[in-house]
Amino acid sequence: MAIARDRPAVAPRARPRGVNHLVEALPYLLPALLVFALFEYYPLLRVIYLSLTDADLLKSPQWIGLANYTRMFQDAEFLNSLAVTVIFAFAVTGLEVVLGMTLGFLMNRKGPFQNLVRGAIFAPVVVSLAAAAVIWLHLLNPTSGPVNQLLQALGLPPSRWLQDPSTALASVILIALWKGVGLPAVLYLAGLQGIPRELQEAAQVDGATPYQAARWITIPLLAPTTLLVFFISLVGTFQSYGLILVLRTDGGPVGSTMLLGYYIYQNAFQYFQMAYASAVSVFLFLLLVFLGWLQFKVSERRVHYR
Amino acid sequence: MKGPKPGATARLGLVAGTPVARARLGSVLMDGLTLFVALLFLAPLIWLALGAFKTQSTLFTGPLIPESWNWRNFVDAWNSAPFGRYLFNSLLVSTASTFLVVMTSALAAFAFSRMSFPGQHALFLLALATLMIPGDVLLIPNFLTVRGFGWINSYWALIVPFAASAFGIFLLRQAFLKTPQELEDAARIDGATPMQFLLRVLMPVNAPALSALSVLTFLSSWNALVWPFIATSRDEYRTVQVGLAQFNNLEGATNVPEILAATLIVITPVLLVYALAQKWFIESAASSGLKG
Repeated sequence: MAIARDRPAVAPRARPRGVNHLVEALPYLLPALLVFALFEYYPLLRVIYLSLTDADLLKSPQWIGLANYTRMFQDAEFLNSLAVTVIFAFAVTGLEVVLGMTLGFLMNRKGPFQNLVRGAIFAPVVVSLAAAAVIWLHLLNPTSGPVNQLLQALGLPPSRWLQDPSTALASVILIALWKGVGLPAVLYLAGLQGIPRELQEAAQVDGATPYQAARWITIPLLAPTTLLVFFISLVGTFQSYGLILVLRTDGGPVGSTMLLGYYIYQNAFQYFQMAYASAVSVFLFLLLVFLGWLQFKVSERRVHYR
Repeated sequence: MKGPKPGATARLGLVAGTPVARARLGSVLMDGLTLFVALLFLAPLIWLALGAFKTQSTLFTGPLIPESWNWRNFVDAWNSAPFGRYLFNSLLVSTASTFLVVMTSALAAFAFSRMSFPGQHALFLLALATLMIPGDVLLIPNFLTVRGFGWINSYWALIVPFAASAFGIFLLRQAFLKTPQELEDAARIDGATPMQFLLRVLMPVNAPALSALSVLTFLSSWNALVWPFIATSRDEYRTVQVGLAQFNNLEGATNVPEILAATLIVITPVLLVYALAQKWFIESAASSGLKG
């Protein structure tokens, strides 16, 4: 109460600054800042430190400089994992942009099934990663799974899906898309609803075909959404290795589904190579920071609509 | 696009050739495509819901709709792993995390939006910058920290690291900034402390933003997999997602319908809430751009 009485009844918005005000604000800030300090900033420094040591779970760590990093770039398994991750990330991201936009158009179209299709496309987003992986593991069963049965009924050859090195990564991409494309679709839906109707009507009056209107008006106006979707998907895919934990491919067959996240998990918690896995984590962090910086640069230069 | 050839128009007849009829045909085709896409996305869930009632021998060979509804799968799944405990753990962890995120976010957002103090801008950026640090990069050091606290196999390990959210602070700060200053002035004239104003006026007035944050936080906590997988090894503290993954690994391919029944148990609570508040779920996600 004392605080309230000390102040003028109608305070101007910008109050004088001073240490008193910081003391007053701290109780409000501390809970969140403590969590961030303990579980975001401290571990970030610690993982960088660990990556420069030979730490495992037992002995006390010794400083070994950049040895983990030189080992990393000579390790064929790491280089394979990096390649798999880049292919996975760009495939999922590209498809999420293209399919997300297409599905966004479909969700935006008035018709008897509009609510159904909106609900259906977004439903897998609320289903957990673990459940999605379990469902698809059995749907893609190579001997008797429903997907292969369907292919055979259509006269198409069956596949060994997750158990064949040439199709395993594609199978994981399929699952990630089913689970994830609902979010880009909804973002595109929101983007489409933000475009003024007059623009499309004007194009119609001027005699543009629906294709021309989409190509020259709608899609360019969706550029901010596309940029957002592109980077949300890209950063998200670098982290969607939880699927691999449940799909039991163990990164295989022959390393074909060894996403970087799973490679870190495996080295840290199965081989107990904490230091080496920390070096891979730091590499992943730098990669993501670089992508974030790229997004900032691209959005500064390319996207003028708002 | 070129129009149909004269011969084709003649064969289709006068009515079918008119632009109105063609537009109507296109509209029906698009409706059909829309329905097809909806079913395509729902098909895995429908297969799951039906398969959970089948027997191992009829799952892959029998008709799509089970001939007899085999409720035993649910009983067996429930009895062969402590799913009751898993569900309780998930509910407890998700509820506690959500409550804490809402509180810490509201407190910090209040300071960032309604107060003025030295270092405000820098602290806000410091909080937001955590969005750039993906949790998976911190898996190893956080595991070591939590192990150092003796928190492995405890609820603390599953709740405390997720008790604050930069996204939450950002979302609520935006909402608080839009709330009229007159409300604060009125509250102060009535003798309310800043904390009373936050809890009794500012938070209730911004219920929509708070509930969007709650749902998104609860969902991501309920669905979390990798961290609970690493931070717990005993059933007493395992969440339902870890329990499901474990159950699937142990059962393998011997009794798939039982695994499907367990999966259905795990996703039904979330899907039920989703079915009731679908529109609002979608709007919350669209406004946040968060990956589910």
